[in-house]
Amino acid sequence: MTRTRSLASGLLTFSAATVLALTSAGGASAAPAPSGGNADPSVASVTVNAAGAADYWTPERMQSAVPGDTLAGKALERGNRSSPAVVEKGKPSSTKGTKGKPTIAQSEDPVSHIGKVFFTMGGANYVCSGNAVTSANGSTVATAGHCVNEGPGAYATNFVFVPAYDNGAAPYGKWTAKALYAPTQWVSSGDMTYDTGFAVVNPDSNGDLLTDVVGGSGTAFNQARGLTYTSYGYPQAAPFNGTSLWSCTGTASADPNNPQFGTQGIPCDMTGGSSGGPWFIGTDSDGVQNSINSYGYKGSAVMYGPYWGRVIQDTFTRAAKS
Amino acid sequence: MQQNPKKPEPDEDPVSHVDLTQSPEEVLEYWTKERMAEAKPREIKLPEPGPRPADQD
Repeated sequence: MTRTRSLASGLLTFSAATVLALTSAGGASAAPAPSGGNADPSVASVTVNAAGAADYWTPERMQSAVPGDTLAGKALERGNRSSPAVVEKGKPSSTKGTKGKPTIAQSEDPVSHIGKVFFTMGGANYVCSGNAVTSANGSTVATAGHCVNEGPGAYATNFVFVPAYDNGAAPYGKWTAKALYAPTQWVSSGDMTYDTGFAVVNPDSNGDLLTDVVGGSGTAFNQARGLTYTSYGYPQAAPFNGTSLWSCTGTASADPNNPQFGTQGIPCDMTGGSSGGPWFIGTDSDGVQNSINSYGYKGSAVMYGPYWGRVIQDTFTRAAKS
Repeated sequence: MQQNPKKPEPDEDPVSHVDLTQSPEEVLEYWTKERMAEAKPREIKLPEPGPRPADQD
């Protein structure tokens, strides 16, 4: 019974639901019908307009879409089932499976102190990644400078940190910021050398502090160059979708294109949305934080992060004591 | 983002900050499920680097 239902569900999810949706959107050219000529009369087909389908699926429509199982259930209720006696048996056949283009980034389970940050800047709503760090005030989140300030320009508003975000779930709540910190050279001139920011968040509704609830990473400054790092983030731009945590691990090397930034890069193809995510020394999220996801180059799978030296250390210290 | 940032003044505070005046309730109310879903990634993607002088003919 279960097996029959699963099979029906799978078929209908693909065929009926798709055709219904595209017909409604005006993307389908016609209702499904047997092909003419020499085509197999037992096979129906429909031509669809791919562009129409892409336009049709707004976030609202995706959210309110009815599970395909509902359609399968209705089909079973109608009782339109073929008798086993009339199902023709052909020659056994199979096709090889294919894999999508692999990414360098690895999928990760949520980590309690790593999350997404949401904020408003220049009238638009943005998303980045961030990490709770151990601090005197128990309330400090490390992220990118470009996720707290336009660099150069105004600071963000409506800033909120969502630790361990997982496909829309906020298991540790949403933590609003009461202050934002960044190196003056980021705020006044957008100097890529200093693309790091810190948010100080309010206690939650119970009066608890952030790192008392989710824990916090240690931080390290003025370290040697060329270390092995693991970076984390919530990449949102394709081929990712921003719903879950990803990581990259690699040995850091200087940016050969803009050495004046003093930044370091590791092999990583995480996309927009991962900005501000933490770099830990070592190979997992238990290490101390020593940089953040800052920038990349078009056509290159390297993520660069700023060197955390004295200025960024001073910025952290001021935020952590506030 | 500027590629040639200005040098800081000798007496300039190297750390900048802002105190946000919004209440937590106001911010939490702002972030509806829809707004979170539609927030755009803020990223810095620099132009693809051209050939370095040593690579040119």
